[in-house]
Amino acid sequence: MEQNYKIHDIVRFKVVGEMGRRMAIEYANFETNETTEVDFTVYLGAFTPSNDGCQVLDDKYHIKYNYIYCEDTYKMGRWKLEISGLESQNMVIRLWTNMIGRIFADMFICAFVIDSVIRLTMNLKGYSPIHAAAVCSNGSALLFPAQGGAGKTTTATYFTGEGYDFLGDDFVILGNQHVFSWLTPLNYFTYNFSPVIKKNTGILDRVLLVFKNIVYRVSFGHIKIFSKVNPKEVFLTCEQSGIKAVFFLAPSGSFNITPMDKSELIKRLLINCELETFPFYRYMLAYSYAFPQSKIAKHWHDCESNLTKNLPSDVTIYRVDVPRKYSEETFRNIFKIVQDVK
Amino acid sequence: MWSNYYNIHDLLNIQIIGQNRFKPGNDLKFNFFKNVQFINPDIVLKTGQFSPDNTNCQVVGGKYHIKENYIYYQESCGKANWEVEIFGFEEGKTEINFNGKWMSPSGMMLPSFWAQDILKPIIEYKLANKEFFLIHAGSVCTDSCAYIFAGRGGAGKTSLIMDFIRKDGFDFIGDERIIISKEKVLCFPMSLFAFDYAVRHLNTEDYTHIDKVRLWRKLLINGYESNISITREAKPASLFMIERKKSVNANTIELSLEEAITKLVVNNKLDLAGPSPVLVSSNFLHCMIAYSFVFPNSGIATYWDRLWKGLEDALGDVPKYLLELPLRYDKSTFENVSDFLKKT
Repeated sequence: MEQNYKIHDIVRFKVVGEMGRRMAIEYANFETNETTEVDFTVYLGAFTPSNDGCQVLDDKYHIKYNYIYCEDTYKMGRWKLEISGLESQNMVIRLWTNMIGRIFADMFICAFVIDSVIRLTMNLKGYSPIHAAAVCSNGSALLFPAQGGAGKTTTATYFTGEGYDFLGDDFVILGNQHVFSWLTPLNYFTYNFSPVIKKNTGILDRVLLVFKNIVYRVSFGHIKIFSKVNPKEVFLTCEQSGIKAVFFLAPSGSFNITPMDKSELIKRLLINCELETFPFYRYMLAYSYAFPQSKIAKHWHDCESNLTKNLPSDVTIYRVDVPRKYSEETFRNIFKIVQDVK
Repeated sequence: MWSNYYNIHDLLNIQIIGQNRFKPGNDLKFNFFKNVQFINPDIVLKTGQFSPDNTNCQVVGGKYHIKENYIYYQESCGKANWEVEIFGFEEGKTEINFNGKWMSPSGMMLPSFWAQDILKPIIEYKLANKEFFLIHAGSVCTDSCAYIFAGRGGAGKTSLIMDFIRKDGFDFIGDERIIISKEKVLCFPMSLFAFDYAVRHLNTEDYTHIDKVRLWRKLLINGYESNISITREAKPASLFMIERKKSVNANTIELSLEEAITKLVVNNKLDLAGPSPVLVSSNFLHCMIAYSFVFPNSGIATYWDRLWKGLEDALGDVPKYLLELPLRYDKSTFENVSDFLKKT
């Protein structure tokens, strides 16, 4: 079983192997029949690593030029990952995960590995994936960078209610002073099960959500299984747009809004991306140790240069302190500021 | 409860307050620096149960409770779990509360021992503020010239260092960590007693279970006494980055400044990037990044850049080499390295 994907004309990849439902949904909006110029290929399933002649670091990372292999774990998930062509145009990734990894493929396969490689590839091509929600209207977009749980999805959802088009609620892509959509499933749980999402979920999914909430409580918060919906089924979406303003959302005690300068925003965007790149971050570090002058070693530095060039120099930037309990009033306050931005 | 004080080369004073009664081995890691009481230690580590003061914090990554100059988190890895609270995380006097549970015999007998690992990155951070840099490297010296051997675990640093001490009569400066500044290499021996025991009684640095039992028995009977010849301070003479390669002989390649310093910095970062149920400092990088996210202009956020510049300054003029050791370390490996060293 194999499937090609493309994200705008920025990244193209192919996945070969048994994908579970949770994984297929993740990239459903990028499916394509085009098979040319693939940036990387992922082979899922058991494999024999070609790790002869490798330097072994920490009894864990097998590294040689252009190559890394390791076995790793997180909670009850285990995986074996091999990447060849780390420094060249087409990477070949082989990934095996245990049963838990296959069940929670959106975390172990997508978030931990494929998304990190997608972001790496984007940066190598000069684009800046950022951890932000974005909406647009009349060719001009508002970006809402924030860490997980601060209110990206909620803010984007409210804006679509005001007639804005949806570009993304988790990551979006900056390039040449434009923002490109990245339409991965909306992750919803009970606390952000907004009316517009509710409208698009059937009885079965609602029952499942109640069940997942029970599992969450019974496991004292350890097992949180998000439900997913394709944003295209819920919102009007947009492919790309110019950038009007950036609102950095910071969860705090009460609502407040202050201007932020570009260099500070870039620092925060960069660190936000670093936070999202664990555990893949470790593999990059191990490779950087062996090859300190490689593109991988210079990656975060290049990310910073890309951000500087991809954000318009005159874009309006605000820091918005939002209360921990995000309410309609919070959104109204943000919306009011947006109206005032020229 | 027990309480001891440790003086790191008059640069930092540390107080460790342990839970339960003191047992030998409890402060094995820092015993070399044991000293008299100080009125105002720079770092205080208190182990045992505590109630965190984590109100009004921003929670990053669902895990790190952060406010100005403060962080609190819970961590678990394998059969170990712990919680840490640090006041004065970024500046000023640092107070650490640490409560941990290890489901292992030594963990249950000596919880304070495992807790002390959290001091490593804190000491590293605070020393940098004084332009001294704690790096993951060992060193031996002769004639006040310090030869630095840096590299990941298992690369062969310790075997080389032991042989330089046993066979060439060099002095010991460090096997795991040393402190570098411009013109100086300072010792930072952790668990010196254990290293001394290995040099005298073992062929390699690897302990079997019986070795460990003998080591603890000796500690209980003789106390921490070690007779190894130590140099507290010397001048840096050369730097060797050690790596294992499938080859017949040891091989040296010159390294550029940028390559060497990048490797040293990443070497330090890797120690704080990987999970380990035993080294409680091993996820510290993640919590530094989380803190930097909330305070991107803080000392924590700028630490790695400052380390880079500081090491560049300290080691700019020192010859730097990549030293590739064969997979099988034996007598001739050491002789190759020893000969090379004598020529430089």
